[in-house]
Amino acid sequence: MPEPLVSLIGVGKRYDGAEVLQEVTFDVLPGEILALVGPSGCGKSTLLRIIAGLIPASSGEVRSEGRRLTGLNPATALVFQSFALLPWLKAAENVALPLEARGVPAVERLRKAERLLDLMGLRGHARAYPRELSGGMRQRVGVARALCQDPRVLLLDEPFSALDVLTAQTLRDQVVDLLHDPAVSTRTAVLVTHSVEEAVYMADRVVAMHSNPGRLAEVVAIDAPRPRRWGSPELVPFVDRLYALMT
Amino acid sequence: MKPALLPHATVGRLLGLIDAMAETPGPDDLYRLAERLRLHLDALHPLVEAARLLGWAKVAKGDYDLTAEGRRVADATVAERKALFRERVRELPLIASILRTLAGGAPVSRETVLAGLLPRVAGPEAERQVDTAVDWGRSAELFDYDADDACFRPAGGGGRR
Repeated sequence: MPEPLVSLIGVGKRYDGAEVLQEVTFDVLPGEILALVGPSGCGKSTLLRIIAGLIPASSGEVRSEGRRLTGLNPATALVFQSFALLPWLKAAENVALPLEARGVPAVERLRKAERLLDLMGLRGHARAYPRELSGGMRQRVGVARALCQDPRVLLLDEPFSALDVLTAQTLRDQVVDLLHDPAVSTRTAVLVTHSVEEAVYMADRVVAMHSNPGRLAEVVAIDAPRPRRWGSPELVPFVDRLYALMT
Repeated sequence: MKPALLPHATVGRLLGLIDAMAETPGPDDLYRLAERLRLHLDALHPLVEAARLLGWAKVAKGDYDLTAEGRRVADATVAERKALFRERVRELPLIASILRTLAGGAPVSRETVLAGLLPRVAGPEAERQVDTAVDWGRSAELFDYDADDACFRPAGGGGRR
């Protein structure tokens, strides 16, 4: 059994006395895509932010690379549903921004940003403003910005739900491919989604959650070969099982 | 015969369409594709038109099919897709004319490109034509465009700012 990159041990969260998460325990293993699925209100996005160290757990413990997490988790980078790009910066500058905070010299940051945009198929848009980009392109910039930080664990918060069907499908494939690409150092991802189909299509394991309060229902291994095809019969049993668990 | 205008399709959605078309082995109904993608036929139209213009899909009597090159695109990597896209896009009239004016190496203003569309295309449609040309040209890495000074430049960071 490989050492987990992130461990959640009995994690709970309360807001103003209301229990949002209760006793959540699971590991994120190196090299896997782990999906968190559940109905709205099950606290899956809160859980992702607890892993990122953006909000503290009220109880229990988060361990990242063997150490107890007390603040921001430097092993992670987050991709937001809303893209969260700065409109006054060009694509490459948006990607390079987190590196500036880390004190990387300007020339090096821009070179790295352009290399990641190239991997996302966006090299020609390096000097485009976000308003000049389609939704799919903006999210590619969002993914490039996260990968630019070489996180051990890429955190994806509903990254495809603001996109139309065509754009989302291409981008799902691209993210899975990148996590297996030797040009990218990141191998591990945690994906929050409300779509069971998306979780089964992309993930190696799926954490199914109940709501009110958010708690773990079951962890299901998706041992279907890759590349997978959306809606293919071999994925159907996993989709059915997850729906049954959550309802 | 008037040269074809650019259909207003983003490159990402166009490639998504090619992937979706590749899921059926032979010709199929466009309306079934629209249903499968939960897209209105009106929304599907510019994407299909773009695929046809690039020689990647054939459309006849409400049926579509990918061409041999279209199937290659569906199976290609990001880099191969870009190369195939680039070869086709550089031949399109508006893009080709921008490339010709850039051949001297000097920046070309958006105004110049808009003026080149007159008298056939003017107003908002001309602006949209140029916006689409910018998107496709950037995707193909044929040229750069900088919204700060509204100028086209040869690709590859010439006059980087």
